[in-house]
Amino acid sequence: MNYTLITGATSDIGKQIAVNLSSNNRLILFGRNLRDLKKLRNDCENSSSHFLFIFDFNDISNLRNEFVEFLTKNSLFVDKIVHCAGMMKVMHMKSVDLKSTNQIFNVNLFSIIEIIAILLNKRINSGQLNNIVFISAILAKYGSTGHHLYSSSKAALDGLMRSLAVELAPSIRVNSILPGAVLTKMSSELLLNKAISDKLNHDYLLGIGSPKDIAPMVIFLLSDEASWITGQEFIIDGGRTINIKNN
Amino acid sequence: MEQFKEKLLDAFEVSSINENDVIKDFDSWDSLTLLTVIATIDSEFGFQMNASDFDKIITISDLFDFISKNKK
Repeated sequence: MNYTLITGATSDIGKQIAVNLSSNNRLILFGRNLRDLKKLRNDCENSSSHFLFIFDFNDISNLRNEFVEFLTKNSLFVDKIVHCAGMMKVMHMKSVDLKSTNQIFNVNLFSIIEIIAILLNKRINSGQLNNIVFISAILAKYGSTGHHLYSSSKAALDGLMRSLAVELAPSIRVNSILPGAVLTKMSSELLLNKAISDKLNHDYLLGIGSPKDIAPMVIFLLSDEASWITGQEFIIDGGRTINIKNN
Repeated sequence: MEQFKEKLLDAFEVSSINENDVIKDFDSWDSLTLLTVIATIDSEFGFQMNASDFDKIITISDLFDFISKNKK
C-alpha cells in the first residue's frame, strides 16, 4: 500500500497539510512527540489508516536503520513526501556554536536527505516514489538579522530540490514552497507585541498568513494537475517580498 | 552551568557577570541578544523559553533560578 509521508507533521503547517490530505491519502506522520502525533491522527479523516513514526531529527544517526525497519515491519511503500520539519534559532552570529548548527541542519536538511536516499532504494521502496514537496521559507532567498542558520539551511534545501528534480525526472517531481510569516503557536506570541504586529501588518500586503494559506499549494503540487511542474520555488507570502518600500 | 556562564559573557560582551547584575542594564542587551540567550539555553539545557518569560527575570540570579527549575 502506498503512503504519503509528512515530516514535522505536528508543526502548525504540517498539521494543516495532514488534515487536508487525510481524506484522500494514507499518511505516515513523522514527529518527535507521541501524544501530539496521536492527537493529530484523531483530527485526521480515516484516522485508523494512518501510521505514526516517532523520531527526533535533532540526532539522525539512527534514522536510516529505524525508518527501514519501520517500513519493512509494516509493509509500507511511500509514493509522496512532504517535508515540513523545520527548526529556527535566532541569535547573534558570534554566538553560533557547532551544536546549534548541527541541530538546525539535521532537522531542516540532513533528515530529508537520509529519508529520500532510503526511499529511492528499489529493494526498500520498490520504485514507488513519485512526488516530493519541501516547505522552505522566503528567508532562503532574503536576508534577516540573526537568521543565518535557518536561511542557509533553507537555501540548501532549495538547492537539493533543484538537483533532485533534474536527477529524478521524469518519474519524480520535486518542488519547494517558500512561505512568508505564518501565524503559528510560536509566532502568535511575537504578535502580541504591538510594534512587531504593526510592522508585519505594514510589510505583508495581505496580512499575516495562516497554515490554511499554504496547505492548498501542497495538495496542488502533489496532484496530477501539476504534472508539468518540477524544480520550482513557489513563494506564498501575502506580497511581503514584492513590497519594495519595506525591503 | 560554567559553560553557560562563558557563553553569557560572550553574548553580553563583558568580562565578568555577577548574580545581582540586572540583565536589561547590559549595554549590549537588545532583542537579538534576548533571542541569542534563548537559543543558548535551548542548546545547553534542552528547553525552549518564551520571550515573555523575561518579563519576570530581572537579574542573572533570576535567570539561573529559572533554568534550574526548567532544565531537562
